[in-house]
Amino acid sequence: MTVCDLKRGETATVVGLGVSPQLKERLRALCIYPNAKITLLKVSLFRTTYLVGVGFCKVAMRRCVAQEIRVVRK
Amino acid sequence: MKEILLVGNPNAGKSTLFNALTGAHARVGNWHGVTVDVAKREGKFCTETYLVCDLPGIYSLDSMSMEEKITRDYLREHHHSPVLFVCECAALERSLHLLRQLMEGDHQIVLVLTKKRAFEKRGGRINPDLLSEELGIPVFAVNAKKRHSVSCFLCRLTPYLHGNFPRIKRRECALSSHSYRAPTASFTRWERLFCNPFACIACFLLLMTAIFYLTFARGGVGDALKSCIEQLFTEELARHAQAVSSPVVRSFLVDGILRGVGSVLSFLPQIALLFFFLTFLEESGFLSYLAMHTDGVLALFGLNGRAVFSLLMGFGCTATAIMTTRGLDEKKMQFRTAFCLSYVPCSAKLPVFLTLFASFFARPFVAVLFCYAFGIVLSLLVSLFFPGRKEQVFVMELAPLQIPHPFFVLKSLLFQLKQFIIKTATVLLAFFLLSWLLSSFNLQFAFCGVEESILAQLCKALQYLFAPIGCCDWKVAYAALSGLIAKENIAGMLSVFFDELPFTAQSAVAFAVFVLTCPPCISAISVCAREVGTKRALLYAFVQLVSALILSYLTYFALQGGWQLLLCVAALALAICLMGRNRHEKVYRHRRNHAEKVYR
Repeated sequence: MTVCDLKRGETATVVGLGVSPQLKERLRALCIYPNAKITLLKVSLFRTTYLVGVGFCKVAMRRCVAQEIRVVRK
Repeated sequence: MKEILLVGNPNAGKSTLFNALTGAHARVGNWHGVTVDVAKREGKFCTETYLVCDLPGIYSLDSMSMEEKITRDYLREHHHSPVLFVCECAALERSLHLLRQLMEGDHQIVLVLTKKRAFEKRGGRINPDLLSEELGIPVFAVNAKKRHSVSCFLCRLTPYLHGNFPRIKRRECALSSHSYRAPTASFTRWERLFCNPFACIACFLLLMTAIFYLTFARGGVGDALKSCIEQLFTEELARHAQAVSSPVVRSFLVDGILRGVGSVLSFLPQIALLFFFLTFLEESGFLSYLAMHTDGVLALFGLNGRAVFSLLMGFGCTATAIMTTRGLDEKKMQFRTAFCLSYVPCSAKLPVFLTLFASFFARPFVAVLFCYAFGIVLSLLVSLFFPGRKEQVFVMELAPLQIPHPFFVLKSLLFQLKQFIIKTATVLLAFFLLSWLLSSFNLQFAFCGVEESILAQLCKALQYLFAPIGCCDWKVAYAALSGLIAKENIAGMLSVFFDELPFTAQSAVAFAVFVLTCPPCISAISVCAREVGTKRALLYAFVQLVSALILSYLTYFALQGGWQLLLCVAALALAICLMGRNRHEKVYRHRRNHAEKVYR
């Protein structure tokens, strides 16, 4: 399952990132990497953008990125 | 001179610290990617002078955006310079990745923690001394907005700058629960409200309408203050100037200086109000939420949510807005955004709109509001002409909401107003004087009327430029083209040349459309050339100039009653486009059928 499959407020653990190395580095810098805990905070209108919480940070990402972040529920 | 580099994640407070250390006026804002280029300025700490360099925010040395590459390259070239690693307390955990990379590069590092109070208010705990022991580097907390805190920080920093840096023994950065405890991601009441797309967009629209109303509406604050300045220039000062006996000196004072400069300076209160609200929005962090909610819509136009920052900056100054496009991740998207920004009406176009509409509309506020809305819609539509609108990546950290500090909002506002006055007193004044000289003397250098002047001889051929909008006057064309130097020139030159504008209501609207869609001023074009290349920038400007003329002609034609015909032509063009698509499909099917037939 991916971030897109989470429900609002649900927390999960990241298990893999299926994105380009550059984007992987950016996500890594934002604390989104395997074993990190991620919470889906908000989904925008028409489910185009996802807002996730990682630690204290809130990161907004487009659906195409969110569906490449594989997670498992806690 | 010894250099000090300010490095850190975006929105960590580097530029605020840079301003505090050097007394500079670098642009600051509560969103990620405000600084897009290296800013340098000397700063004197205790006894020595240092060159402080404010680098664009960076997440990692293996970075992806254009501004991050600038920082990465600068760090590689200046690897001997000491680094002040500026880090927001709340973001310390994720900043460790970059800190580790810098430690591996053998930089001399001091960790500077910012926004400690806000962090502790949200339930976080941090101990800089313990942190220093754990990381093996000096760690200080500083509030860059408090002078006392900055001077304490400098006293403690000076021994390290004199070369007493401890050797970095540990390359593995880790935080213990004793030194650092971060709160979990939570929303404040306002953040929860703005997380709702309807509430966020409705608040934004209401706020913008209120801003425009206060700034432009007749009888509003902006209009009242404008009238005061206008009165000062057109009545008080002009009366004194009229008393001068020499006609040349009188003309120089009244036509050369007071009318031109006065007409531009009278818009100072309205520009101040617009800048004040824009700075307030920037500092509050609201734009991050707006970027998140508008990303889906902007994606349809090949842009992403980050373009919101650039588009709103465009209301202030196009050149600054184009520079912010460096924060975008892809070059193609930067080209597209830079071109779109030329259609967003900057604050310099504001005096022109008000000059044009004040004479023809009972409520110029509505007309100006419409102009701004039209500019935004047009800027989005032109992006459709750019190829390669594939799905782009968008990842952005949300800035926390905060109430902007009034002192810093006012400081930023005063600096921007100072810039505007300097521009008026130098570039615009020089242009008005040159124009007065050319329009007051003939080729024999005798004092004469405008129609016999050198300028009339030079620009006579331009009179046909606006003939299709019912304005066959070279002075209007000259005023329009003078906008290439600075857009305020248009308003100034129209005031110098005409006591009453030579427009009808229709031609005034058509001329406003030209001003709205024409290329930006030279400084914006040169910034665009630096960002997207000279050839491309010149091409953009040429295409814009031609399209602006065509659009203004079409607007006039439509307002004169030809809108039905225009609608028919537009419908026909759309039908041809759609038929073209269908024909492709038919050809494809026909070929396939034919192939099948042959096969049988």
